[in-house]
Amino acid sequence: MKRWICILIIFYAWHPLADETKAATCKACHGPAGVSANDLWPNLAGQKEGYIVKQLHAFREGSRVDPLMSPVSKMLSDDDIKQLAAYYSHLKAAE
Amino acid sequence: MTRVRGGILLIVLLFAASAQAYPEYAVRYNNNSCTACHLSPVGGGPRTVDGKLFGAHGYALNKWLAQDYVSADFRALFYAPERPAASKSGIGIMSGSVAGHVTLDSAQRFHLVIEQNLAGFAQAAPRDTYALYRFNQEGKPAWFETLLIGRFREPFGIVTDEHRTYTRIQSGTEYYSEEAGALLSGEATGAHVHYDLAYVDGENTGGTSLAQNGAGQWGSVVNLRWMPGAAFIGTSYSYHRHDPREDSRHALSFYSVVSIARMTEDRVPLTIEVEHVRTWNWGGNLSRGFVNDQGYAASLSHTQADGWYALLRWDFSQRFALLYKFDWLTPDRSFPADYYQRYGLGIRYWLGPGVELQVRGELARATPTSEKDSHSIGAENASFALLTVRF
Repeated sequence: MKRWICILIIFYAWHPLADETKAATCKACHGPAGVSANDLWPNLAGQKEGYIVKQLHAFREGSRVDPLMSPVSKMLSDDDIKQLAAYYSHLKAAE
Repeated sequence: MTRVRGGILLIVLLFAASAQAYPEYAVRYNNNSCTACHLSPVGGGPRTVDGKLFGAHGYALNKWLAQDYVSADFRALFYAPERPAASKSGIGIMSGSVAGHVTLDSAQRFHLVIEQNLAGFAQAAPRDTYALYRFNQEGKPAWFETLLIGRFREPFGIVTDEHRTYTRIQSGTEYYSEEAGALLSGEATGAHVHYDLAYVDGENTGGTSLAQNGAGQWGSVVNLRWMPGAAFIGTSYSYHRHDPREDSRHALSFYSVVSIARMTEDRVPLTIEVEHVRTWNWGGNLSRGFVNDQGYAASLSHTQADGWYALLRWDFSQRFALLYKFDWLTPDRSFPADYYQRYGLGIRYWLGPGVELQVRGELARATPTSEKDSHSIGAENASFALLTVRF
């Protein structure tokens, strides 16, 4: 019994795909499928990969400032930014 | 009937939400400044447009409400104690506040916030009402970020919307304890330390007038919060001068919020809040409904008290969370066998944009002889449902 519980916990904790997991932080504002629920925050699904990379670097380095994005971007490494950009650029854009 | 009404009023008073703030979001999203979502650097109270949109929890917010000028907060409670015949049960409106907030200059440095509570407990009383100056308009961390003058919550301990929390009652930092004064906030840049320094007009002035019974009454609060990563730890100290000075009230808080969710990128969506508060001479606050036996309450007025608060939150989704809460209070450290303890389990669900329902059952235990089987707030098993609507 204990073994099955351990297996379930490990599965629950580690099963998401890497790129999707990185996007967990983004989903709260940009939507679970990269489509924002409001007019003021942008959709990320289908956005150009290079544009996402550039903007996340700008937030992280401080050349672009936003009270929500600046702190969040500081949690990201260069690899994280690349993975996120690839993940969102490959999602289907909102119609 | 009068007793029932009094009981409901009491419940409303003690359940009254301490504004609304979720420190777990600050940790989860790496933001040590409450002003990302709230107008006040203390957190709670009226929110910025980003705060409103974030608080919509993925629901589309009416575009007319997604603005920076007006906000509102309505709260209603259904309370069911284990022994409803004992008086305290029913539905109560806790608060119905409307706030207006404007930016006075094009550089967006001067802000004015006026919030009035129109219904429920402390109705017809102002809540967050202040003039705010932002030293740094870009929103970057800076040594001097905001100066606030007016009526505000003291930046003491964990500012949360948790209800009936012993540590808040113990230290006089409940919903209705806003004070008038000045507040300077900022961040030690590079060190990830947020600070708040407040000078207030003495406790229990209601924050609307000068202190009575001694023009020299004053209080001060220092709050420091260090957030190096997926957790923050903080400490607050408050001092309220009385005459004679040996009656002056002090309170000290150590608190921490740990986001396992952030550490595991939401694979384990757990957040843990813990606070320990020690107070000196604040025991008189417990006579306001928390303790049933007024003789016992009177004996606590000059004691040292210890309180603990812990909250575990497991987010199953963006809109559904499981809560476990633990509370502990020793009103007099000289008699550690006399304590109150409460633990509860419940859920929080967002039904719509800014529409939140919380349902929880709580078991309480009190060991002081006169409180053991009393119906006081501090010792009562109860279930409740709390509906909050705000934008």
